[in-house]
Amino acid sequence: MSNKKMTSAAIVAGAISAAVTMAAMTTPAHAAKIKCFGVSLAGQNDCAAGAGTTCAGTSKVDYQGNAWKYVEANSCDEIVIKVDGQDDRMGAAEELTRDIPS
Amino acid sequence: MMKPSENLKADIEDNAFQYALRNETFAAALLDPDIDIPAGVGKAKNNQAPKRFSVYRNNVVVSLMDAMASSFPSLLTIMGEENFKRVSRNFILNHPPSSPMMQQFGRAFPEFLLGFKPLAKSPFLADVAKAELSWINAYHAQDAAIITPEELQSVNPEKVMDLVLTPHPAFHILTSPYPVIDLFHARTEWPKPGLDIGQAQTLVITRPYFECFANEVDESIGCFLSLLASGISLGEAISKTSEIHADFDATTGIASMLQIGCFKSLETA
Amino acid sequence: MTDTVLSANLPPFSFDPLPLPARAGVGLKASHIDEILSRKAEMGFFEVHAENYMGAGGLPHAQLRAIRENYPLSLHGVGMSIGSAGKLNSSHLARFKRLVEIYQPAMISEHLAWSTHDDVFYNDLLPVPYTGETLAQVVTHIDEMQTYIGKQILIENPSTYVTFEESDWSEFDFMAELAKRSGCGLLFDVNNVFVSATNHKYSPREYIDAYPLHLVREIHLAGHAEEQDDDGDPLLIDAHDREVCDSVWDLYRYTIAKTGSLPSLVEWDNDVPSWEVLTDEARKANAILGINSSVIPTPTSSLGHADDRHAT
Repeated sequence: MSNKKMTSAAIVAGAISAAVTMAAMTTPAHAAKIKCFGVSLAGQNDCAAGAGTTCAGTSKVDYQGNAWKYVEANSCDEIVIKVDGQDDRMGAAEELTRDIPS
Repeated sequence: MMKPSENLKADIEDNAFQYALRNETFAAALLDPDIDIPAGVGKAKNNQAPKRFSVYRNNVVVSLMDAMASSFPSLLTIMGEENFKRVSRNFILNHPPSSPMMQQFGRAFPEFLLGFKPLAKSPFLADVAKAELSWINAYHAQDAAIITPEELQSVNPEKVMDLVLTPHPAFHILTSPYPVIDLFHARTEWPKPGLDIGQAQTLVITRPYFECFANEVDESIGCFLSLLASGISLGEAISKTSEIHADFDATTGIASMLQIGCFKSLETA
Repeated sequence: MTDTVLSANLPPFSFDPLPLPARAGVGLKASHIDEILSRKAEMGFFEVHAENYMGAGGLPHAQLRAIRENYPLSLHGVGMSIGSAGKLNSSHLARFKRLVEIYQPAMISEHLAWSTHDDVFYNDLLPVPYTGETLAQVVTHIDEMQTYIGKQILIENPSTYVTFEESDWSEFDFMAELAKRSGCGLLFDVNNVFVSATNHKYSPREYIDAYPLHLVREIHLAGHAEEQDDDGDPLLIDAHDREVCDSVWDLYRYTIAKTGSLPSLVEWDNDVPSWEVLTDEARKANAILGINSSVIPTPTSSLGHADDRHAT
């Protein structure tokens, strides 16, 4: 019972009042960016938008594409992902050698 | 201006059967290199010129891999380019897009990552993918005003208990057993020294105006915001959150909600 | 979330009609927008890919609105799959129509290509065999799109890397006939002419001579990559990743001498350069059109409103 507070209209209204004061005291990062879109850092917009379209071909060649088989979902070759920043590619290098272009 | 010739309708009654077959074989060979290049496609009759057909195969696979890389920049950073290419290529071949709107491509990626056996030891990647998809959705969400402190304060105190708020179209919340916010920020800041992969984080994505924000909230506030977004009243949301999280402070919860812009203006909701 | 949830949910705006001027424009890239708007950059017109503006709201629409308020706009679809054997995607048509209603573009265009088959979108402009059967199918789709959106569209000639043994029409006759039957106009991509002519060993000038140029309303220019096919023959790829090459500028000059000045778009979609490099390309096109870009006034008189926009 002790950790279960009774919620009443008065408590909620009081919390709103206090919250409004609290919200006004600590300014969030975006408060000043009212409807102005010319201020973003360069490059960030692209990053945010997700993929765009293309009507061009590509001269980048995915050498693995032509030799690729889409059966790997059940493969047991583990891809090791390091998140401590030491070497996030470790463990994959050896396996990837089999994807050399034919 | 738009006057198709009189006999147009007559022409089209004759269905495009041969053409449909041609597209069928062409399309099948695009995504599966084991399928032969369709007969009669090349640089001249009887000359298949496989490198020429490969331009199309390559355009499809590379453009879709580029699309994945631009939609999931944090995963790309965390996994490293070679790993990301390997996984995204598998995803593309198993889940090619169905919509021409590339910003929608990859919605099945979180689930795919969870089921992709070579990544079985990195289940946190699926939550990063979810966060990145939410970010894109927020970016493209419908415009709407957020509820302001003044607006909330002007509600009749006797009615605040029953107040039901409508989530802003860009609002997304993700409660993760992993440090999903630190991982999401890999797009701009990586590596993250001292990252503890076992640390739970709650991510709230909002877009008060045109810019998206990835906000961190503590678990109790995340719970409160989720309950409120589910459509229950403010009074109920406070009670239920307090039952689940003894340390929940309603004032802080409401202040956070106002500051990060989770709900729509009462006027438009 | 379904497709339709993400279709633009904005009210139609009120814009001055701004026809495309017979001068150079460029493809609008997100990385240039802040610079264009803050500098009130001089440019004849902008072209956008329709599919990038099919979200419900947010920054892309705010930016496109600001662009449309200040510059003539051309709307270029890349995903309608006009050349599909199957039906057009009705929700995509609906989204496209909404964009036309909202932004009232001066020109609307699509490609002679397919990209969707059996509900899979391949994200590439795939080639169409030139036969009577495909002609009828393409004409039906153009007619459907024009009727649905209530406007004439332009169809662009493709870059192709293969030919089909069943093709029994030349590309220029195919384009002429589809325009005649559907009532569409043509978007003439000079780089695509050069790429396809090189890949399939015909003369680009003879192609231009035979082309129904009187139906052309807009021109595209772009850079391409050079590769080789299995036999060591040149294989050009329409990569839009570099400057327009000299041969294509020559063909552009040759075309303009026949057509007179036309709105001419420089496309640069991969490895997007700085705004300065892109405007240099536009300046080259303007020079061929007999326009000295540096002394030409901005295309509209409404640029002075740009500051007001930020205040609202």
